[in-house]
Amino acid sequence: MVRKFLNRLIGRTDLSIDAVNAFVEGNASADEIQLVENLMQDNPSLERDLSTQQALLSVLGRIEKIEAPRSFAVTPEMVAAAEGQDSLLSRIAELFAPQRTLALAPAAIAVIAAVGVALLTIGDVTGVVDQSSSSRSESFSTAEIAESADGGSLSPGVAGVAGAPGSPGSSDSSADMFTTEKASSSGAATAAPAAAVAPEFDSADDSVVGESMEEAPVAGLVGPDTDSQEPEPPSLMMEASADVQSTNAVDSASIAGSLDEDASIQQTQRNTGETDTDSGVLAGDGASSIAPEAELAYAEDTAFEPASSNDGISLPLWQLQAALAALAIAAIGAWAGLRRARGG
Amino acid sequence: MTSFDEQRLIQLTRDGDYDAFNRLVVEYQDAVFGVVLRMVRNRATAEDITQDTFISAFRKISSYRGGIFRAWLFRIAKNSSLDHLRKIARRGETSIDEDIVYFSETVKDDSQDPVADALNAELARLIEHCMGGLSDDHRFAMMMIDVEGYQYDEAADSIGVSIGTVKSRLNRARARMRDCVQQDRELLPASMRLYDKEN
Repeated sequence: MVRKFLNRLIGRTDLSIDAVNAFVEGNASADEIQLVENLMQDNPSLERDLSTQQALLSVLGRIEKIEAPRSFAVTPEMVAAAEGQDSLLSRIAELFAPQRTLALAPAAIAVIAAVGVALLTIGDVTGVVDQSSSSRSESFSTAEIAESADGGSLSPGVAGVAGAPGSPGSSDSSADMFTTEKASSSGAATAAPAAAVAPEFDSADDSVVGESMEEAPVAGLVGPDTDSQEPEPPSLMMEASADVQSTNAVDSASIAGSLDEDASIQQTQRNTGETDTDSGVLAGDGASSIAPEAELAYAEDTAFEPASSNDGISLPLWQLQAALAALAIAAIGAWAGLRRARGG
Repeated sequence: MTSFDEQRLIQLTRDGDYDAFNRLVVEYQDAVFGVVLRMVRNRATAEDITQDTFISAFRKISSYRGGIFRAWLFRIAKNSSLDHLRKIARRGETSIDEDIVYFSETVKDDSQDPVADALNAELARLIEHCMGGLSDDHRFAMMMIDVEGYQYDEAADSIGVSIGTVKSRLNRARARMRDCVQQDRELLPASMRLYDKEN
């Protein structure tokens, strides 16, 4: 085995192969004949096999030589045509031949889609492109719907208006808040509507409060009524209020406008009974009521987050990435299928 | 054609002399066409490949660095034939029956006996079938040496491997052919049937 391997490695054949070949061809030397005879003694079937091969060789040797059916003389035109076929231009032309273009189109689409995904990802990382706020609002609206399904029927837009005034013993604070909100619409430092639920945060669940504070800074800033929260420095309050004011003037104005109709709203809510239920949860349910409120505050915060606060271009980023990735995968599949169909 | 004449024609071809090259074409076209035809087993395809072989040889004559010129031509022809075979294997194509070259058409028989002719024809078909079952490398080695009668060094030069490799391939090809033709012992000549494995 090792000898055969080494012989193959150096391009030499086994001596027995040389001898057998020469024996079958009838031009073996005396040494080779001796070697083959020794092999025949060890393996009786070898003589039969070699005789069969000799007969086969005689048949093969009787096969007539084939004559060319025509002249294969080469002309300058043939050479020029062959060189033309191999030229770069002709290769490019062949590349864009209709049957090839059909197969290349999906490949090109796949490449373009993949490049698009890469560019969006790079843009997202570098901050050139940003997830659009509209898609964020949509996503949180979904959470809001889920929240409503769980029993909390407050919508972010209504929470600040309807929830607080209806809560027991909070009419004073709600009155203060309404004043503040009205002031907000006129340019004074104020809080976002999310502040309406902020006073309800309790220290019963610090983690929830902490989370809500972290995620809803506006709510935290206007939470001096809460027992556990430290009053924030006025400068921060001013900053946050200014942000909200600058970007949500229309919303604030509409809310303030709606607050002017406080009486009618409260009357309506009392009639429906929703406010009592909701405010009862907000005021008296402790930790169990904090989570929905925190989400509401977060939803408020994100809804009021200015789209123009980022320098990048706002796009429905992940939706675009997912769509392009799906397109690339589909195009690769189509390309592979076409190649398989073409047999190439 | 002497070796001196051949080298002179090659040199003229390098200078762009078509007439000189076409004298080489006339000299070797039967051999090249025969090898190609037995590889691809389709006359029309064999003609195309043979023509392409000579055009390629003319264009690449500067890469010929001595040695057996016929073997150099065979190497170009073999590569073109194998490319073609791989292509049709990928596409799953098969040759049209009437274009297949059976050895029955080319087995010499001087007996003038119709029965012997018929048996020879069947034997040739069997050989054709068995050779078709060999790998391309084994078939080419057997074709060059056992059918066309070239020497080992010329076959090795044509295939682009060592002489030892050619001998090994030929040895295995013969063994497989022997096993294959033994399956239809009735068609074999008496000399081959004497050593029937059942006896």
